[in-house]
Amino acid sequence: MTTPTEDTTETDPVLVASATGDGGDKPAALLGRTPRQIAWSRFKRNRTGVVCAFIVIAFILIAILAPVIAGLEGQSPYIPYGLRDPNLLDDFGVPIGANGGMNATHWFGITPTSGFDIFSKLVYGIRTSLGIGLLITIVSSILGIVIGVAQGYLGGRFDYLVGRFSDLLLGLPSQLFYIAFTPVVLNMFVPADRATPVHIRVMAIVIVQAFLGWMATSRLLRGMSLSLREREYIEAAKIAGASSWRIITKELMPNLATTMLVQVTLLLPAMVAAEAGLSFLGVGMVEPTPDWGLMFQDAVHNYQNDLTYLLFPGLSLTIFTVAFSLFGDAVRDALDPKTIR
Amino acid sequence: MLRFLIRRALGALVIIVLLIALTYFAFFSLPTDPARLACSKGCTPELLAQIRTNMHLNLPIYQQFWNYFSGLFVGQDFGTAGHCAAPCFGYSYNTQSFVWDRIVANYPATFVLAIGGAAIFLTVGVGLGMIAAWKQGKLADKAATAIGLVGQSTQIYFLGPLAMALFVVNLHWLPQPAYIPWTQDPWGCFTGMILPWTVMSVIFWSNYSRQVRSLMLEQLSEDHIRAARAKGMSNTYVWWRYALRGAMAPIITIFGLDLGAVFSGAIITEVTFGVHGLGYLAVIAVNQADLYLELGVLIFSSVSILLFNIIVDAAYGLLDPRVRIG
Repeated sequence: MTTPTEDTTETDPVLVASATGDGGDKPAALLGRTPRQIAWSRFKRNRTGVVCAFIVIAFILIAILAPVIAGLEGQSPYIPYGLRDPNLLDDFGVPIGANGGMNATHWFGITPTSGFDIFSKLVYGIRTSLGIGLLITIVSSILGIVIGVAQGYLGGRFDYLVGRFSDLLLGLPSQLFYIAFTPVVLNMFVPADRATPVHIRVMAIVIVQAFLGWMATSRLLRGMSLSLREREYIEAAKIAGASSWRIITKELMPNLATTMLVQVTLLLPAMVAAEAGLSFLGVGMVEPTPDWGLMFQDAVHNYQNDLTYLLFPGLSLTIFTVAFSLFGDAVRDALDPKTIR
Repeated sequence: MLRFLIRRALGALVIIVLLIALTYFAFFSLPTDPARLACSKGCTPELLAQIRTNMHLNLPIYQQFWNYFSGLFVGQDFGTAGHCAAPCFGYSYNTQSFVWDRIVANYPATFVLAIGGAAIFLTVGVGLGMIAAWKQGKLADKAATAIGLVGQSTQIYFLGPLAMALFVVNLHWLPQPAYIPWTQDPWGCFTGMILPWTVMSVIFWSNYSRQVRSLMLEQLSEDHIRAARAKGMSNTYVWWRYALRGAMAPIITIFGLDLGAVFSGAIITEVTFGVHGLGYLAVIAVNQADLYLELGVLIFSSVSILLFNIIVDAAYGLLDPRVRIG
């Protein structure tokens, strides 16, 4: 109790008092609590964070349950209703009826020109955008973590060379490279004159984005592991004869877990938006895959006569990004009180 | 300082050469046929053969690369397509023109977009940050943070059409956004670009306001500020002359990097508003599989970003005497 290690002195007394509910006026019996429990109780008290967590969970649930939810409405995202039923669109291809043709069958209305159902497209679109965003985040985080920790731990020439390489990649106009190299990578798998299957397209997007997106994570983790490497417990493990692999996995990684988690929560919304951006520019997913970026692309051409179409994906994406950023902030605050800004 | 700059420039040069080589081989050694891509409609075998000779596609790939690379400095001949003068980035078959000419034609739009947008996001971002620091913990602070967060989370392709629908279609305050050369019609240029400038700047606000806020708070707690206050200097004077000045050095670094990024083409802004700049050109090139045009835009943008980074480093050295020694 008297040896002040950094973590316990800062947080324990307050938490013990609040946990026992005695207002802290008498010394409570010491409760053993794991760091995870402490973080959880801190997170629960952050009201914004909790609300945002629910919103994020709702988005994830919608993505998983897309067929069920679209089934409730009873429409499919792949059917151009407007072409089948001439009563839905007028002669200019604009939906008939208020707010882009909203009614009981098409809850959010239908798209101009072809008359796809917006609600089902939106619901299925979460799947594509969130799924691809998640894949990119996972792949680029793993790349960044492995490279960063290796750089920090191994040091020397490896660190120097990889560092220069990541500087090079960071110095590039990344957006331009995304759009230029996605078709190039696609061409590696599928010849230009043949139709590209959806999963190959997804793979190409993930490869390009992950390849150009690992540097921020690796830099952060390199710095962290450089400083952790000098700590006593690592030295102790070394003297005890632990292998490099053991030191990295058992000693370094657990101490980097917080940083990694925070980094992931920062990356994910950015990557979801990046995927939508690629599709918006016409180099990501293509019709008929339901995708938010494609909805934007279509809606932007039609904003003058049908603004409601644009509002649905726009508001959804904004809400998701805001909620996820706030959720990420809450997670960071809960895990590490020192980083509160 | 000079030595440092020379070293940086040499490093950048190596990077540029590497980059040109890597992107060239990535683009041209693929199992695609650039001649077929270039020869789109009404393609006859004779025309295809001619394009192939013009593009030197019959030569081995390393020789093609040498042609391209030397062409950047001394120009290159494209058979019947004619001679391409010194900074030769190749020939774009889809539009029957030299890549360099197209870059030169589209660059002014990107330049004007970048300058105006950067001016707005720097002013608004720093302003928001100052307000947040000034009213720390109060409502204005929270409002500034919230504005920044929402701004950062909105997408240009959502906000852009919304703004256009409001100001152009419904209120008729502004004309349809487009780039009009400012030498022709300065006012038209301003009204045509004000929406793209503002919308583009929104995503940058939060970064600046957050940084400025924390830097200002940090500066205000420093000893020299307290000394200045103790001397009886006015609050305003301390804020603007001492605190802001100290907070600006890191901001200039971020600003330089962002400026480099927007100079190399704010792709989504340009596509959303139909501003025919470099980013727009890049998207057209990708969608038409115009390899030389893509390569040209990529190289041009990368070089301009690298140049910017060097300028930023130099400016940092001038602004902050502490880093000058290194």
